[in-house]
Amino acid sequence: MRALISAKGIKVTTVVALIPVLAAAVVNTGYQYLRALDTAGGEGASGWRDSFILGLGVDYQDPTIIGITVAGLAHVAPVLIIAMMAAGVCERAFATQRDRPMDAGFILSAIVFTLLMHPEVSLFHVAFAMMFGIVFGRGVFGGEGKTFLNPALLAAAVVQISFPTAHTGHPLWDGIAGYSGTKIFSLFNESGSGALASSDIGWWDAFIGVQQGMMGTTSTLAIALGGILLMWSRIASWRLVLGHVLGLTLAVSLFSAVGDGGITNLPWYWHAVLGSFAFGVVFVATDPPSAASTDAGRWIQGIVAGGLVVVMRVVNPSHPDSVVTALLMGSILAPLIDYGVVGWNIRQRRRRYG
Amino acid sequence: MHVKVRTGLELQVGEPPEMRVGEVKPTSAAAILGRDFPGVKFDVLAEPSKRVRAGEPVLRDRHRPRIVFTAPISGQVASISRGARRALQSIQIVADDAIDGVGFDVPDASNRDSVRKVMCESGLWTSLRTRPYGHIPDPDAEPRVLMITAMDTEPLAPDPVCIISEYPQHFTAGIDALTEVCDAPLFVCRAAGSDVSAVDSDRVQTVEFSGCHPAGLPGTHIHELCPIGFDGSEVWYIGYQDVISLGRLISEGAPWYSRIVSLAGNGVARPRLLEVACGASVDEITRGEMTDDALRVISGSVLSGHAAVGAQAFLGQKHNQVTVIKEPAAGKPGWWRRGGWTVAHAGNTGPLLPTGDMEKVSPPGILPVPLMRALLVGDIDRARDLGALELVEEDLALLTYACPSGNRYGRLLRNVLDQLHKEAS
Repeated sequence: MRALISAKGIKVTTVVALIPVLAAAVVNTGYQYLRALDTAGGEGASGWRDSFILGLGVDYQDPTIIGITVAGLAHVAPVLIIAMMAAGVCERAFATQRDRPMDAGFILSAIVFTLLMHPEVSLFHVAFAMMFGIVFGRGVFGGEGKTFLNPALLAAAVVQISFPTAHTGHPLWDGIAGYSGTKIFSLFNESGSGALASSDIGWWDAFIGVQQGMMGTTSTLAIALGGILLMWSRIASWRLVLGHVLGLTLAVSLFSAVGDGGITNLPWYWHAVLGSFAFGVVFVATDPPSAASTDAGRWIQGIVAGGLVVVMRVVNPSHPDSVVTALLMGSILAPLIDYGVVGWNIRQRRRRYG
Repeated sequence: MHVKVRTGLELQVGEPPEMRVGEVKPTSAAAILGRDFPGVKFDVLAEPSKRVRAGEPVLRDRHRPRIVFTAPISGQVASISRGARRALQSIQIVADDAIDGVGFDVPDASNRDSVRKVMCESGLWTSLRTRPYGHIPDPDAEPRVLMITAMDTEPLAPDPVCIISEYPQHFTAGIDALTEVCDAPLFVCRAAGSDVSAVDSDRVQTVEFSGCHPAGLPGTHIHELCPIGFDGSEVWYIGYQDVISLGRLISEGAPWYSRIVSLAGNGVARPRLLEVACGASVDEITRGEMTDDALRVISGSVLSGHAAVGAQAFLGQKHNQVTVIKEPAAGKPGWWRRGGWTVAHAGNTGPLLPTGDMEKVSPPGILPVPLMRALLVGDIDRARDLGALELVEEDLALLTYACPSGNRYGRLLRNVLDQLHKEAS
């Protein structure tokens, strides 16, 4: 039996679980960037990130592991630093105003938020959304453990809703035919499962994470490693994780039964490795304060949110990765679900005890 | 009948004690602690410097004068400590050389009123408890079920089997007497596979429980066997050593003024069982037994006991163990686990983070996080609806230990129970 965990231990363990995801984010972002640059023949590389990477003499035609890491860090690090600073300033302001010590939880929020961002995201958007997330997802409710929303999730939703173009990516990145975490949905919608084979897209590539997408969300393998640690230490509820997968599977089988081909036929194991699904479920949905707090409630929240992901993906192909929105809905529903579970428990108790 | 308890936690706090009965540790000071009797207002019958004999009443329940609390040793009343709002903390008695106890008239063991009467006079009635509330039952009341707890799953607790097997006739006589006390069915709750002699009777049923703590708590047994709640009926329960004491009272005319406790924990040189007086001074029990000076001494288990300091440094009435643990280095608990034991919280409370640990250690049939939230905000209606009436402090000790927030749910529960009791009466 492992020891029970402290409040600080929860944060440290979560950061440890995020390390493989961060590493995968750096490597894959760098690799995808150099590959895109190679495909474009070096054209279109005019941003400050490109100047920095190329100025360091990184060779995109023959990428080395150092080149990949430099290119990856040039994308991940600025977002992470800006997010941390924005979150830290807000947390500091609340701490000063309320005369209490700063809580280190904002670091965790900043890391998760960074991993949910597109590599070419504007740093202004990052700073604005992170501040919004920390203030309205955390600070105004009284800080750590008192909120009903995950600040990182709220911030990611703000970027998606307020700056919808920020997530469509840089034109440079669209150079590789059909090979992006979100583009695969439209591809599948147009020409069905044949599209995957003809574009040379394999499930294992998507599982390991050699694809485009939000920085931290591409490698289901790295996410699974972190997820195992989180579930073993009982920070993330396995019921919630399994509930999401179950909801996803149920919704997919429902759609393929009534659907008319195209995206409705995309099997569940593809849904699970594409887009931000795996990352969102393991690191965002299972955040203890914002998830349901009863075992039955965790199952229900998981099934509802997992099903919503598929509904949004299938019914609305223009918004292909709907994970952030669906998880936000799940989080908002969690107190209502708990309310129902508690009411049911009270009724059972009254019936049993007379 | 066999019940398997699935939730719970096995805590490692040191070597288990050597389960051998026989060693007696003499006691020169003992006390009755007010904290053992929630809801009781005491009248003091023996002022300081008065000499009392063992078995002589020293305290009385102001509202139910038939309930008296008797001296566990003969000697002089040394001091009476009072705490907040002049509530009695403890009444201490220092032993003298003359050993004399009060003799009680051996009652007609088949007469309900005479058994209840002698139990009240000898102070043994105070070892019964009720659910809901965990109070001493009214001497005229009638329970729905009476439970005898003949198992103990607290960390480092003594093995009830080896204590009961020392006094088998007294244990049996005690159960016989309890069948006379009330008309309700009796349950003897023992650990699975343990050899607790149960009396054959259509009124007495033996139930086996398996699993780790809280499988041995009366709250768990009541939940499984006779759930209580909203109709006002009561379940009574009593510990196995109190049953032995009752058997002794019936067969020999004087209760058993001693208890066999385990002295264990990672700060004890030689963990073992000791026979000491009821309410014996914990300082005396631990003298010369500890490995170090910077140790925390607890009457009871690390989970549900109380810190044995000052006026509280005496064995609690329901405690079968004394635990001595090493203090965690000040301010430096390991980041990966809880900083301290129940009795160690510094008072800094953080937010309640509903991790899966709570369900793992919650009492059976309880939704832990909603109940903890109701207790934190003092919502007594919601707490009652979620099952607070089934619980007393010890049932929530594991949740207090598991919750990273540092809140003491046992104390919060007692506040809620006090309010509920006030509203009900």
